[in-house]
Amino acid sequence: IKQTSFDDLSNDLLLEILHRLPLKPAHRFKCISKRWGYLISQPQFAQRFIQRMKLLMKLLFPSQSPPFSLFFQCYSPEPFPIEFKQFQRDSNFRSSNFFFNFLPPNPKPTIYLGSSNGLVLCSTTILYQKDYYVCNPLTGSWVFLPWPPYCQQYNLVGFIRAGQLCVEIFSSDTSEWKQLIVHCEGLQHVADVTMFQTHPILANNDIMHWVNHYSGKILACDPNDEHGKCRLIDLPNDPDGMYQHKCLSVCQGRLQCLIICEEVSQHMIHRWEFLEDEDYIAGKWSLVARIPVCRSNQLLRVIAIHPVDPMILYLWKSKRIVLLNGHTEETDVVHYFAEDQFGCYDAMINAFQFVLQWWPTPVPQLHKGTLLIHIIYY
Amino acid sequence: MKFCTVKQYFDDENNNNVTNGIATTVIPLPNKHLKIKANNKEMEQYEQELLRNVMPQELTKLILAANYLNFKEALDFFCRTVANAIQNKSVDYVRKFFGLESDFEPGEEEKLCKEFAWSFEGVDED
Repeated sequence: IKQTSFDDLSNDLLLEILHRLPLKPAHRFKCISKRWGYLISQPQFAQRFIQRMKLLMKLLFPSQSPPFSLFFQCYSPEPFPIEFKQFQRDSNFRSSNFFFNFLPPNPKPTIYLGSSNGLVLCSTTILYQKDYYVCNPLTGSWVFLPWPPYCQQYNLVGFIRAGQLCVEIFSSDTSEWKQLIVHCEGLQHVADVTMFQTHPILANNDIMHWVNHYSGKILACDPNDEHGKCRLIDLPNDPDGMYQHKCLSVCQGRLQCLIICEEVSQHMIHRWEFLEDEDYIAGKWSLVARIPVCRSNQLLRVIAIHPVDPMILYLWKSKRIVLLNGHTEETDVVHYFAEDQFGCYDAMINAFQFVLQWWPTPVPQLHKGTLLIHIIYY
Repeated sequence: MKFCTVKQYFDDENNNNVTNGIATTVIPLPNKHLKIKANNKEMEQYEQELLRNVMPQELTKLILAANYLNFKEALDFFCRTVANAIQNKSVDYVRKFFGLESDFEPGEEEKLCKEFAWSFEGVDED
């Protein structure tokens, strides 16, 4: 009787086993043999894997998003290294690479600029940016982008000269920067153009939004529009929260504005969004929810919302990041900042949603389609 | 459907891939499956027992048999058992488990391991 060996399994049967492996072993076992490596590297493998994960999530947790992290960066007075908080206990989505150690060594901490599709855009400086990296913090792969044609002091926002916007879009299809001069109605009247928040919020069909708290405006730019269309949107006019900090975030792909308001008997977090596409175009906000929150004598600020569940909010409370569950009204501390991470009371903390993909997105190989945007205003 | 294929198997004397030993494991499965379908704990125990008593070679035969008999639940069960057995193990362990050899060039394997270094985190000790 012939001895059966594992190699006797046809590709189809071997795939039946491989498809039941979680993310990390699936990648690790590419190293077992050429045959295993070949089968796992096929695009159909990743597709079926993603479908299986989505189905599993649907059955187990109807409103569960793919795992995500919040990255916090304390900006001022000096940028601190990026902290992250992962909200997934699954070891498949943990990686020591989340400390961004794989980037080339630099005396200053990496500046986080934005993320999309599980990829992160970083730079090495806040001013005079020209070193840009696109990386996948789960896998530790990264690529250094060619230098943009212009390097001004402030990028993503510039200094006032005229009402014109120079938009530079990097496309990894052509490996080149494309420049567009765009007219943005009203931009010359914005009080302090340097105070736009440096990282964009991607929402409403991948349009990028930069908020300027001092003037109460949002700069919205559509990188997929061939003219690089930009416009200004007003932040919601909330009578209860006129002088309060307005946090811009995104939930289920829709732009959200969160304001802590003092109502008569207690504090409420007001959540504003655009109900319909026409409202988004017209800039017409609607108040969709009010979530109670405990009064506090200390600094309290909303910094982000959950990417899928609009009732879960993340607050910056004194030296802690706190999760507020609007369903149960319970709070939970998710992160403590060390004493020396705060320069002073005016420290700016930005928090960014980083949504992991079920199957890691490869970093752009220059000459294969992804789009990045770099705005200079001058 | 299941009974038709089993009959065909017994009549097919030229089939070298499925031995008697397998028949005694695979055929009682439908009954066991029905009995303990609702009870996940027992299935887990059965899975553990199977792994302890059955060598990797045998598992391969079980998979081939289940596939030949077109017995989908058994195929799913055996494949899951194998996947669970190897998921937290190192590359070397898995090769030994299945009696596989590496067919990479000397530098190639090292390069791959470096590229997927992130996936080697959290592996069991051999």
